[in-house]
Amino acid sequence: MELELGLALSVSPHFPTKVASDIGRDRDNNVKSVSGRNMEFENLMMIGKKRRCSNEFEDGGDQDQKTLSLLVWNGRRPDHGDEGDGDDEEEERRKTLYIASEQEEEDDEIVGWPPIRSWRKNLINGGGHFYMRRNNNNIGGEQVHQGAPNSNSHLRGNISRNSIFVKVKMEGVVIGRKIDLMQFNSYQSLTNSLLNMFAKYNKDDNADGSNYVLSYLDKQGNWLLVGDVPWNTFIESVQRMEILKSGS
Amino acid sequence: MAYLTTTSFPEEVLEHVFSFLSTDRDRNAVSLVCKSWYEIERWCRRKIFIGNCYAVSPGILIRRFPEVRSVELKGKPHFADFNLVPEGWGGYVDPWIVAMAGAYPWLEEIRLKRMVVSDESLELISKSFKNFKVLVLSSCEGFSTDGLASIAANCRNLRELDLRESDVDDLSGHWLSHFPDSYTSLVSLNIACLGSEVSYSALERLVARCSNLKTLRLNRSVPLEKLPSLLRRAPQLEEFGTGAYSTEIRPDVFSSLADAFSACKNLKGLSGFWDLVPAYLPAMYSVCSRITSLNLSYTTVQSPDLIKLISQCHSLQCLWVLDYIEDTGLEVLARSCKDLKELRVFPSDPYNAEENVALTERGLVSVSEGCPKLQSVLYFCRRMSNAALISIAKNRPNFICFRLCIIEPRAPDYLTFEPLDSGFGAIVEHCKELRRLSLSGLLTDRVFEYIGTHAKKLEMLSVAFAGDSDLGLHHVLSGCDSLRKLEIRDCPFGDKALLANAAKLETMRSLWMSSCSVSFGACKLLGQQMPRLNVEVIDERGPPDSRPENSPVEKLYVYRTVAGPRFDMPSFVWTMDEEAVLRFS
Repeated sequence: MELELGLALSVSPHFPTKVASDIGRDRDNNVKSVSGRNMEFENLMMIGKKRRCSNEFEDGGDQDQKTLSLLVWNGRRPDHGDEGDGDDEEEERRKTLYIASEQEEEDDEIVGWPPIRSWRKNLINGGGHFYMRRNNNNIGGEQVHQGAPNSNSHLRGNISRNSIFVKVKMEGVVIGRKIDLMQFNSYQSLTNSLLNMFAKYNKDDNADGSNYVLSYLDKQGNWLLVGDVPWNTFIESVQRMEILKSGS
Repeated sequence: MAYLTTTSFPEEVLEHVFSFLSTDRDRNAVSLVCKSWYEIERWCRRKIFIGNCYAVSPGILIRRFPEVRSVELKGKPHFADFNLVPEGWGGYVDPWIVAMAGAYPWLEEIRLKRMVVSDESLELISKSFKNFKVLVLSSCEGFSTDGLASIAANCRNLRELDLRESDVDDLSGHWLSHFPDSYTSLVSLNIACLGSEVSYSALERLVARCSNLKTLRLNRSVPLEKLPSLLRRAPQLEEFGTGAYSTEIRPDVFSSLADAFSACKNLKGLSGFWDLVPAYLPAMYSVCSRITSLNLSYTTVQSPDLIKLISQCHSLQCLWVLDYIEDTGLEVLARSCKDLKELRVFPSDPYNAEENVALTERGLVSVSEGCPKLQSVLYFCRRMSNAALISIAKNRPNFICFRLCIIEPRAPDYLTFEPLDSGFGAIVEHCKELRRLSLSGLLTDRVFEYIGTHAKKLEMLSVAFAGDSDLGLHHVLSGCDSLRKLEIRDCPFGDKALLANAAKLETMRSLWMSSCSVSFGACKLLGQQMPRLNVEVIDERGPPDSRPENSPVEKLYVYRTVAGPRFDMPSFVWTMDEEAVLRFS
């Protein structure tokens, strides 16, 4: 499985000449040397669906389509024997891979899996939370289904929202996150989740997060410390959050 | 002879002939015939589709096609839907809108998908295009109801406003009242994604004065009591999305809703039904026999009520539903709906390892047996077998789209504990027209060999937690001739397969690989050798050159482009162009 990264471009003899010659050119040269018309012609081939035409063009003459390699494929050819047969090394690798992945799965949720759009995800989470909320309030309906949102729910105002997304940034970290506050029911659960989310940036490895403070922007545009008002007041007012190093 | 006749045609005649060519593919073919056809065609091209906003620049588009009326643009990679693309990645529409505002004063339609749209852009749209008609924002973000208010206030000829699944900053429901009283041209309005309450009186007046309204999809905040009066004002509706479909059981509300539904003689599509009270379902029974499209995927209605409803929808062609339908409900669907073309079954509780409903592979097998026109499936379930997949493939060789998600990653055939290779192999072998495929479950390199061998028309492939070596990726890249989009996560595919098939990437729109085994060194080499590809490394751990050359990158996004490297990269994206590679080495 050695890599031959130093390999120069090798053009397969089956490769359609037109494409091969194009690839040899670098983009800048291309712009300078090719006449305007041809340039546009190439643009045409690249715009969106029009690629189909470039496909036709490339596939047209040569059904035995081969693509240019940066690396000569020297792996096993797709033969029809059982893969892994007698290939202990490969088998071993696969096993370790599975073990690694099982461990990873034990670490709770996998980001982006199962592949459900965040919009739909909120709906699921939001629905569930709403249901619990209603039940706690003892406003029962006649036909409440198991796991279903309360039937005669009548949503109003902020409480009607099935999700409240706010952006969270951490001081010194470029990438922000968006979290749904409706997934939490207390400051504690929110803090724990944020600590996990940003754990990899927490270089001091202070797992309890004591060296960080959580601040938020309220509806009036003031930055306040998280935890000073009741949870429900907080979620109705918070616009965004920031995790600050407590020294700063 | 063909040559002689064509040269003698005046330009106007050719233009007229070309106007009958509706597909981009045909227009492209025409423009390749000769110089004069190329010229004529570029001046009369009205519709443009750009599958990746970084594949071309606004300037190039405008130079080539000066008279465009309709633009469709896509931004972020598809995996952004599942939170795999960090926020701030890009996909900004603003430079496009600015350029088009100057060049296309007669632009009528803008359709955007997964793009970041600012309120300023919406305002610019509303003021720059004199005859603006269609705005579709699909899975977009970055704008608020203020931007929508500009659209409402200024676009006098607006026919369609569709915010499907966009993430709108919901400042106020009053934006609807910005549609002027003289405005009557609305044909389609979809505000289902909005969280806040809309101004109901503004909505009611709008619906009442737009007599051509065909599609109306409300959001969850519109209560059921309001539906009868809305429907009475728009009996011509063809597609209707309800708001919350729940209230206390009151006979008068029920009967006025039932009357309003039965007066809508053209109704073909229904959606919404948030927080549904099953007792109100019979109110729409009168339209069931006409319904062709039903989206119940936001509603937690259970199997017995679903069965009563679906068994009356004999014309149904498209059904989206939660897994509460269960195998028994799908059996009824298979018996009752012989015209069904598309089925999507979503999970009601995907993050719980325990099964909460009796939905298995059997439901899908039943539908594949009973619905001869079925060609598109998205199916979430918790167990699958090769035998089931093989019978599905044999039952329905007409599949165009087959997306199966077994919720537990790497779940084997639950009967034999074998990988699902032969099952998915049967799908690609029997379904010759398959264009889109999503894989899940335990899979080895073998399945990719089947795919490379048989899936010659496959255009989009999604892979997760599958394969065991570079060979898997190599099979796909070297075998799938029509492949345009390939997205891969958590697979042991690396440098070798990628570099060996580098030129294949130039024939594709894009490749996404996250949590795979592609090294930074290979990304550099790819970017250096393939100048027409943008090779972007996305790594939230910091600059990739701070780690060893052979350590794998977090995420890799490769796409072909004629625009060169993009200029709006955030700090966690690095492009592997010639200069960058020099910088890094």
